[in-house]
Amino acid sequence: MNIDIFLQNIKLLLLGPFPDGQLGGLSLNLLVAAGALSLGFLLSLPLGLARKAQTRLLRWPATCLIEAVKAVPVLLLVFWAYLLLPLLFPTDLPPFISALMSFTVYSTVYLAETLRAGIDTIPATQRDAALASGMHYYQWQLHVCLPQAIRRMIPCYASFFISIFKDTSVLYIIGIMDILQYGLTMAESHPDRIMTIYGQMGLCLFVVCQTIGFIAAWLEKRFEMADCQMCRKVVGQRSTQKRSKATLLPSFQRFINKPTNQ
Amino acid sequence: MDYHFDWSILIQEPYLGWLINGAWLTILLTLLSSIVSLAMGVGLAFLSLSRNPLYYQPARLYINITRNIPGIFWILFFFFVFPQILPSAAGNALNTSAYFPLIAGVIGLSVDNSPYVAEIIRSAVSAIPAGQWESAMACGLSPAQSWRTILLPQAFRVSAGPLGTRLIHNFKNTSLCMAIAVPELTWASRQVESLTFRGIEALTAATVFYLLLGLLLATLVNYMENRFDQAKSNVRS
Repeated sequence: MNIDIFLQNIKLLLLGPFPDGQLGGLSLNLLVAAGALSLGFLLSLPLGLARKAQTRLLRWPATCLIEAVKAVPVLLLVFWAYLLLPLLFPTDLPPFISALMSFTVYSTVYLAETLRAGIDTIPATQRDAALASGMHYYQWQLHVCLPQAIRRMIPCYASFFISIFKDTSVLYIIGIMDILQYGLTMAESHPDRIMTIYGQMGLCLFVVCQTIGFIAAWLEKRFEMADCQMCRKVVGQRSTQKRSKATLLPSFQRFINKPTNQ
Repeated sequence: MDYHFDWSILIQEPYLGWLINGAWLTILLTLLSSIVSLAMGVGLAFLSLSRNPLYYQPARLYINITRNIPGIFWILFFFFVFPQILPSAAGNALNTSAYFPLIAGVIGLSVDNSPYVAEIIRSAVSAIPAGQWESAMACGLSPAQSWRTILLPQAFRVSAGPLGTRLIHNFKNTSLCMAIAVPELTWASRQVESLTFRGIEALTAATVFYLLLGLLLATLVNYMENRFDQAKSNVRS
């Protein structure tokens, strides 16, 4: 097997025709996954809070939306976006945008569920203490609940990134020039080299997912340690006289009563 | 939005037949691949629990490789590349067989699902307190008897919930088999769309089926989880 052909293939699989054309290949998969994760994270905050809201008016539609989208395969969501978006927006949209939209919807729903799991780990005593201190519900969420919940769920977000990166591989079915599209086209035009081409594709996908997996494991260990340190600071392993207010979350300090000088 | 809805195509004869066949094939694919991946997962779990590196290193390697590569890749691999790896007589026989897309789809889905099943069973077996094994030995039970009567039932109780979740995920993954032209529901809806140009109606039919069956499976899994819940059970542990 020629080393030049090997390198040419790898470059096509990883970047597509990049300097001479649009970005494609594995980079396109990563781009869609990262874009969907970022947009989905922003959109999942209101959806997750609505899912945990106290009024049925917010909770029921949010639950129906989340359960409906979770029950449908990703490929079907991709087809929905592929069919619906050209009808709703009359201009000629590139298929990348419909792919990004479908994965944003998918990640919004799953990240909203992750956020719900995170909010469930916060003890109810914190909510009671916050409300008793005179905070509104939204203040409790913004200053106390969400910072802790999101920090605790960061390893889950990392492993969700692996999952959504693997799911972006179905995009080749709607014609997007990602890694599988280039690999399959190469395999069709060079059927004698089919095993090496599939081996290269598998190797690229494996390396990316395993790397993100190592980062996720490191994040989990780091946040486990950081959570312990945060707990130690807030609960106070040092004596109460030495504990300074600066160890509490900065946004929470507004609600601490400053001692009045008698 | 200039799209003319025509919901009657869903009840017209060839299209309705394709959609119903597709639904049955989806259920068949789910069942077959779940059973095969359960068998593979149990074997992998026990291999990876062994103390002999000759057993657990290949198992960990297999679990790592299959877990980090997407399912669509495995389905395409088993359809296009696997017959080439086999000796040419077997490869030709597979390629010309009429059921080969179904076989390749089942194997691909099982290979995609098996590492997760293996991890679930491995963590369930690890969650059994070590005292159970020791007291089984002390009572004079052989290893096979202790696994069969004491350890595996407890492992099953712990793993039933996550395995049910994996079943639902496997059911949704069967839509990937449309890439190798297995005539399941997603493929059938694409066929209807390409012949009638009524994509939204066809896709709605497929979505409704996945929604209904998915919610049914989720309810069943929930019931099973509650039934096997350790904290609420009346059996003294």
